[in-house]
Amino acid sequence: MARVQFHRLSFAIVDDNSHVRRLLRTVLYSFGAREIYEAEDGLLGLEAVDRHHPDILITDLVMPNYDGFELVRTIRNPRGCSHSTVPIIMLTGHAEKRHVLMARELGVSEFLCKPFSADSVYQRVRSIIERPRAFLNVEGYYGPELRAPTKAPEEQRTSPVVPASRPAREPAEHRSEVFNPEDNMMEIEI
Amino acid sequence: MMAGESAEKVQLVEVANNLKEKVKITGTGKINMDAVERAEAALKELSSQFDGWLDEEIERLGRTHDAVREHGLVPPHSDELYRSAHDIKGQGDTFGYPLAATICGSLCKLLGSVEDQTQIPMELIDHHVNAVRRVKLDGIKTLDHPTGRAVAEQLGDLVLSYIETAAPAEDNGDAAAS
Repeated sequence: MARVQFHRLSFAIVDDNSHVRRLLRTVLYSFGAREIYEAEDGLLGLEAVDRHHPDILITDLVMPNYDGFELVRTIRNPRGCSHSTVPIIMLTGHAEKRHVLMARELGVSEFLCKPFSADSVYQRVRSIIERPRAFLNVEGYYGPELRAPTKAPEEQRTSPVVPASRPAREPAEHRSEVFNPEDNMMEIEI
Repeated sequence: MMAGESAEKVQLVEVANNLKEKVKITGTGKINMDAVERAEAALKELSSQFDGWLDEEIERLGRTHDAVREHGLVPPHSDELYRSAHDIKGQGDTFGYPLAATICGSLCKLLGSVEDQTQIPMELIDHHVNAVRRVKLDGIKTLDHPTGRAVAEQLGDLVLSYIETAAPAEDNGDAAAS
């Protein structure tokens, strides 16, 4: 049986809701993590990431002043943050595709929907540990290599090791045709 | 980037994280799920506090609602109302009140789907906030409760009807989300 030594990992939790922070802290502590930093908004979260260089950042999306998207945007700017490659799990009640895709475009590593379970947190952390992705700087995108959609084996062998679909911003009208805002994307991989 | 495009524009900044080495996965085979079971047990222990936590969240919703009634649906009051409703939408299920989460989801949809929030009828917001208070007061937790279900469905229908007649938000809700 494989065991992960969670006590070696450090986490930063950024959420303006103290109850959510408490739930997450309880879950991570139960996994074995002992180094857990908390921040109640994006600015304090950025400070925590800069100062403590956590192994994994878990951030809410909807927060006052400086929301999760702004936080990720700042972190994924090497000139704006000293730990710009930190794996980021975005935690949110906004499970629609457009939010997932926006998170992906900004360089979020994993997407986790509220309400979350201990197992869902564990799976996201495991994914970051077990399926590490190279970090790319490509045409305005700075973030983990995007997971390619399933391809035929032949195509997989010949494709370069870069995002299968560059996170380019598509025209808004195209997006609205493609994405159903009501779709729940809890299981989507970024 | 599509296959065939030049890979020269791509800069590999850094190799993937080395967390796998850091956590020193010991043993082989399936991952030991003790950690998840421990966490679930810890959450169960914590759940005795969830009722009080939801009360705090509903009090907060009430405060932001009061502010909106006093100042109108304008920032920062409208944003605060949205965030407080959004928090119950996100955690109501965990706290044992999925019905409260559903009602707050309806309120979030209302606030996030129209361009001019100041035109939203205040009564519609009042109904949502009062309904959340009521379901908590009466201990109506799920949609299995006929009255609770009827209220949630009626609120949902009212929101949909209103959204259909109002101009949509530019980014279909992102403004409220940010």
